[in-house]
Amino acid sequence: MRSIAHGFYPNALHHVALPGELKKQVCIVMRTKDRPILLVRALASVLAQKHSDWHLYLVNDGGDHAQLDALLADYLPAFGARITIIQIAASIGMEAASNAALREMRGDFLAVHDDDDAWHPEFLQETVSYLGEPANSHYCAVVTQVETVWEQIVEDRVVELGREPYPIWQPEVDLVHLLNRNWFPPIALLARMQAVREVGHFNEALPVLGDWDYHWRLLMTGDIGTLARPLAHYHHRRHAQGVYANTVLTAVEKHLRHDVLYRNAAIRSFLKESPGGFGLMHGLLRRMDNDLALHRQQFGWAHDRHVDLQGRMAKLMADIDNLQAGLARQDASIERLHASIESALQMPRRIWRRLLPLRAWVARLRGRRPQGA
Amino acid sequence: MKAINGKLSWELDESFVSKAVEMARETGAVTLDIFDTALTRLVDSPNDLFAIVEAALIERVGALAKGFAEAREESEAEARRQAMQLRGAEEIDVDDIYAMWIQRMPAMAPHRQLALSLELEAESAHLVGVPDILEVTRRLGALGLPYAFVSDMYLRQDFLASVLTRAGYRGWAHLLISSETGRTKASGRQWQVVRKLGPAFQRVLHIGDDIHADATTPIAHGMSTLVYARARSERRVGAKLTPALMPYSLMRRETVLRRRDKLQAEAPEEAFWFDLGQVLGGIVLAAYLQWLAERVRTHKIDRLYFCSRDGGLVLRGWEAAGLAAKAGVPSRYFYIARRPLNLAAGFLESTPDRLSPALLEFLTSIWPRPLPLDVILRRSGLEKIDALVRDLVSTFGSLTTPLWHEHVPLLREVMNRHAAQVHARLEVEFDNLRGYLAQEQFDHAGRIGMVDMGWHASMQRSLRRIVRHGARPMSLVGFYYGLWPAAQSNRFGAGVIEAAFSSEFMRMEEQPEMAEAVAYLEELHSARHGTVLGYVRQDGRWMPVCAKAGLEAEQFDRATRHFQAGAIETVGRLFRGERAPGGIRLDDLGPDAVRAALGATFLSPSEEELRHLATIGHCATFDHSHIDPLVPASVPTTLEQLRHEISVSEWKTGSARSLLSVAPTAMQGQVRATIQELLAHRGGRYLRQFA
Repeated sequence: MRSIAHGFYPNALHHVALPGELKKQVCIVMRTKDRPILLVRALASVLAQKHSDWHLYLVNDGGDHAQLDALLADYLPAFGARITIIQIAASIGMEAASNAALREMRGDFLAVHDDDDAWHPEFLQETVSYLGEPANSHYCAVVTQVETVWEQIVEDRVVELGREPYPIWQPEVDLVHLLNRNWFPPIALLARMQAVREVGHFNEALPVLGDWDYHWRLLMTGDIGTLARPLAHYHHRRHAQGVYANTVLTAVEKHLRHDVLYRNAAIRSFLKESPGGFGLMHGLLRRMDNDLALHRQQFGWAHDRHVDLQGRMAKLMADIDNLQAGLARQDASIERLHASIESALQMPRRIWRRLLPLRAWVARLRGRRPQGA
Repeated sequence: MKAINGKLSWELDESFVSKAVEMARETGAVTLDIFDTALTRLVDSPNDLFAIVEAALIERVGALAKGFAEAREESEAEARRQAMQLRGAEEIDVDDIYAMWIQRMPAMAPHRQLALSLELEAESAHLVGVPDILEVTRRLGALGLPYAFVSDMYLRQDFLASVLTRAGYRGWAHLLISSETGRTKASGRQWQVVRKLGPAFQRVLHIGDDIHADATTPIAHGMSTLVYARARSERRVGAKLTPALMPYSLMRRETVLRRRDKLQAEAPEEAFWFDLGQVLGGIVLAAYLQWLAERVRTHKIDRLYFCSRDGGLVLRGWEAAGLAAKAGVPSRYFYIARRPLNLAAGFLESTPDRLSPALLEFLTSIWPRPLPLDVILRRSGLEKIDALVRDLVSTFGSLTTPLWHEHVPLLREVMNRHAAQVHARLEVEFDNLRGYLAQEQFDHAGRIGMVDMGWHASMQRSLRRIVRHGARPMSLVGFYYGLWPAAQSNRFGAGVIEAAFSSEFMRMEEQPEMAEAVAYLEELHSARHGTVLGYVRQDGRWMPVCAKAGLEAEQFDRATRHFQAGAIETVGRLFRGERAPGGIRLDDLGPDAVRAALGATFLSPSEEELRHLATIGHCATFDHSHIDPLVPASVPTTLEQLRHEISVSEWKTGSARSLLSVAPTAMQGQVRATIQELLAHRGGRYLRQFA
């Protein structure tokens, strides 16, 4: 009988390699197409890794072969035997390009390094070490924090405009959250090859959203650990057009459209296999709809109440203002009254002071000390 | 410095010894401090010893022991805090420390005893007797005067007794350790214990190195004192406390102790620079040369160019190490500088109608102080373009008008109005440079390596652009000490760029060791000749035209050449297979050791280092019209000025330390708080030097 733990935490990686058996070669997939200005940075990012047991699978997805060869001529000595170049004559798309590399690779971990992103030099060292710890043997992958780098291309230079922490970070990778949206870019992820083999190929039918599709499928094989260090650099060029654009920024409509199509396909497939699921989904959606209607109604009431309170507060504030104005007027008239009394008393005070000798004489006659002497 | 039979082989300080004995005759008994008085450690800063223990632990138990040294240091501080807060105890012992350490590294709990025994082993191996104090005790013995050791220490009495015996001490009457008496010299309560030792110890002469614990406090308790500073060490908190620090720590301590071998009031300035070169320069240069040799092989380089002026020292090191012959790659000194390169590249990037943004940025660079208009024009050879000069004078008033940041946009606008004449003027610079490059075969086919300090690779980008303009394909690889993130922007234009010690993929704040050292590395690697301004044709050859070095030459003669001599000496020894000071071998040196050495020196300089390094100046702009001190020369009168001085300083630690030391007493608290706020991101350990 399976243990309760297995029952609670079904995980495809029951037979994950023990730490002592763990090898550390990382297979890195990098897809590129006619972006030499960015590609050189990505190559340098890989070469700068402190963890040196890696192999780069560089897939030229229909880009200019001669241009790439000329660029690589300078870099090949630094790579030595640690690079495999896969030239594809006509573009087959990002996911198919990844699969072309996946078919070739033999290693222990997989990382996808887009040609416009970069890693901190300790990315592989930290992530490989994390997955190598016995306490983390149940994780099929690990994701690090991300730093967004804003940049623009000026002639043949990439000019950095600023950096900021990537806005989303969760200390645990929650499947429900990931089903809702993809919250980390591929540059932040290192996966065990064992899990990668279990997941299968990247989804070639997707022109966009391939990362999201792959991430949640990966999470179906086991949990993904987290490393709270910003070791991945996600580069964004807000206004770039053409080959140097970020699809996540410039192809928003395409993303939205495929978001719907992708969901439709998934539900269609689910309902074909489990028609009864329609009832469940319908029930849940109806319940959500009802709840939403109720929330809207409550929100309407709360809003009315809020408006009412705002009106009352405004009236109270006006009353307070009026009272303050009245008090100020009274203060002024008291001031004026005080001033006129003071003015009226000036003469009698002067006479009283002048009469001091006379008052003293009278006081002496009466056998007293004169006042004010 | 060799320790013979557990003690240093120093020339005896007869004057000190006689004075101590004479004072001892008056008091009738003597107490001696132990650490940095009777014994001293062969490491630069006392806690560096924990890094040795960490290395030994890693060897035995593996990566689990990583972080031992810093955890050990923090555990001691925390144990002291808790002992005071919970028990009012002013001292702790080694068991208290290790109990706390286990809380920080619970996975190491099974290895607690091993860690402790390795610590004691390391202490024992690195503690040596101090000859002057040994002689004092020998003469006290001959006179029949009793002496005792009194130490504020967490280690046990029996352990210290064995170390003292091994160092040659005999016949002491008592050994008082604060961990066992529970009282310290620093608080003064230990003197009550001393008095209970007997009639002879009612009034003693106390000898020690710490002004507070060994002088001020005992005097307040009625004792006579004599401060002994010859074996003193300073605590450093800048470098990460890891095994990578050991080469620097051992080398530095040996040179310091060796310099104190002879009796002299103060070592001459040139000796300081030689020692710094031998240790810091030697570590940096030797590690770089090893890396360079490997990269030259990997990239199959067939010609190597060492760029002026920083590359001069590296070329000397390359030759002294025998790598020039071993690598079999022709190497040469390459007269190149920002001015001729950027002007020539600017010519290429510009047109008679429009000057390129990069050129305008270069022509109008003004930092760190305002520059007069005529200096701005002359440094680029634009002062002879009459129309431009007239236009600028009418815009800004006169040629002597100092211009600053706010004037730059207008200055660029005016220059662009005269783009045709500026462009024509720069063509001359371009042609001359092309002539020099052809003569040096820089534009010939093959795989070229260029050696420079680095940072943004902008020079390499300009060079490649100029050579490729002639439609000559070239393969150029830059081998640098370091690169900053801004180098990423030049990567495509520059070709392959690689750095030994810092990474363009890390923020500068993550690499404070390098960030703080850059200006000094540049100055201390510099050749004596002035910066290269351009090239002239003489006797059928292109010759470099160098600026008059002036102040820079004076600095070179006073400091730089001694630093470089020390560095070359270490490199020669290491590459011949000999050991450097501290017993260090070439294999011990890698990028981590370099970063640790730079961190120790520039993130927590000793008082002596701070004093000498503060005399070095640096020219930030290519006009080389001023040398700015790297440590502010004037005392800020407001906190706002203080903030500004530290924020713009190229050596923030040195500037902050220096400004704190000269701040008026009444302002010390505010100055300290301001510094701690400005440098808070560097962490509590680093900030201790400002506490």
